[in-house]
Amino acid sequence: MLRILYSDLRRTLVNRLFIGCLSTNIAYQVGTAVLLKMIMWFAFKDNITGEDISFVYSSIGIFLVTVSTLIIVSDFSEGTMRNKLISGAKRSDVFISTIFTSSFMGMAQAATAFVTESILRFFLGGELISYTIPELADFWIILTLASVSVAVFSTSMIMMIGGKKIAYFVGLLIAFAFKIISMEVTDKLYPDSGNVTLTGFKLAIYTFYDRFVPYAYFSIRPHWDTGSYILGCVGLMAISTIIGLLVFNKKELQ
Amino acid sequence: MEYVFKTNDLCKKYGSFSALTDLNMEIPKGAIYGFVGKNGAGKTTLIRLLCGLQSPTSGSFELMGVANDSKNISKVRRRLGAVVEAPAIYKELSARSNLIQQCLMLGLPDYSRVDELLELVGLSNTGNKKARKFSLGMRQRLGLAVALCGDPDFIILDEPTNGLDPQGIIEIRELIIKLNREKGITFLISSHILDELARMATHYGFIDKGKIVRQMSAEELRKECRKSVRIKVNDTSLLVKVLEEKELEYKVIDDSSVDMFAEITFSELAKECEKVGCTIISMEEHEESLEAFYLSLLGGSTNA
Repeated sequence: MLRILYSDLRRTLVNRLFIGCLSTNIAYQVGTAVLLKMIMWFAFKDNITGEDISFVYSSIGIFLVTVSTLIIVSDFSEGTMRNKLISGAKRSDVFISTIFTSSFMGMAQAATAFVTESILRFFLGGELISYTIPELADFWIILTLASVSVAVFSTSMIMMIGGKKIAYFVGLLIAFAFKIISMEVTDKLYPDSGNVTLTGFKLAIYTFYDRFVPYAYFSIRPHWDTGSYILGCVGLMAISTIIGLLVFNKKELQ
Repeated sequence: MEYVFKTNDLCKKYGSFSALTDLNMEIPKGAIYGFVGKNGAGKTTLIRLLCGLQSPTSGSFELMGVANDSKNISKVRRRLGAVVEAPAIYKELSARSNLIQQCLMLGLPDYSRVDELLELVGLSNTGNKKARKFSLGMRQRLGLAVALCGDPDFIILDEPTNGLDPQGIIEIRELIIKLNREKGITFLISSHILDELARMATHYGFIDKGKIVRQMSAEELRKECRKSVRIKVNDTSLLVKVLEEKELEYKVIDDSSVDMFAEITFSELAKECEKVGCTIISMEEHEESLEAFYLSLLGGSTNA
């Protein structure tokens, strides 16, 4: 399995889509932070906060990670996935290697975002107002785990669908759908004004989503304990991997 | 005879459609096996089963002596190389990098073979050019080099000359023959260009509607497609009478044509025909091509 993983990682590091997503990540953070700085300075004669810079990645992370994993679709369409099996690799090895590779992609996105925001905070002088450094470190660990779990979920979906063009559409549709659901949940659970109006089963569902579904971790500043977040991320990774592996092992490839 | 691939009543169904029905075929070790059939006859389905991309609905096969349901089938597939449908290459990588990628995947620590393979398929001067910018023929050659990376004993090629220019077709053909003769690599080649296949195949398998219609060696095919003289006459029964009397081998084609498999002078035959009142309309040398044989075997258009 390690030889397949090594070749997959080597290929990922030179892939244009992956490099493009990392570049977009940096460009988006720099652009947003500089724009915010200018608005705050010229409109309010004030400086931006450290949190303003730190949470920029949250708004784009889901899409960057999902798009990165779409590399795997080309593995199917270019026949390289098929070639691995023809060359004697076991299906489970191919699947696990792809999961590890996509985990690396998720991790790389979060790490790039963290390094970029650290540099930006240093140069743009954003002081932390409501978070301490250890809290911010916790947040980044959670965000990294969430990025990895989103990558694993997206990859499992692609491996189950195969190399069909629809995989591009489904991947992005899922990312958009979760983004919208997350905004709705955040809006209802943490209203800008007034009290929470949800009750009973609906409240339980919204709370579960907010607490245990990693897609929600990108839309809000952390509210729950670290254990809940870790459980959510590990749970999504485990469920995606098990179901994906079962389906891929039985899948008829073209 | 030792076989690298042997099927036993192999069946593959997609819903109610039977792509393969009780298919039995054998590929002898060291052969260049030409796999011929119409579109949708089941060629690619069989190759997919062989490569482990799909599972048979029923029946079984043996790949290099190992049954398809054996745990060792993955290990045996490491001795396999294939270019199925389209060459499996990373388009963002160069030719050299693609081969290194395959070496890594196969766990081969030594990349010295990479340059040798590039030279072999005529891609040694492509440098850092990305495979994305390669012509179809160059991609086909790279796909073949990828298939050769693991020093395989058995190579499956689906339309290997697709997109190649005449020079490229000759080079690939010579390469296949060279690898077969010098390294003893067995080839399974599915091709639509029957005359091209006829230049290299040592064995043939004709497939139609998911069944092997006929398997034969190139020698057997040559006998079936041997040279003859096609004689067009006003009455074939009279000509047959003459040929029977002279104990010459023949085959009646239709009401007015007969193929004669013997050397006889035109004047001698004409004299004998005149005696029985048979008029010769025309005589011409005739050689049945693989394409013609294929058509006579399967019928229909040349959609091989």
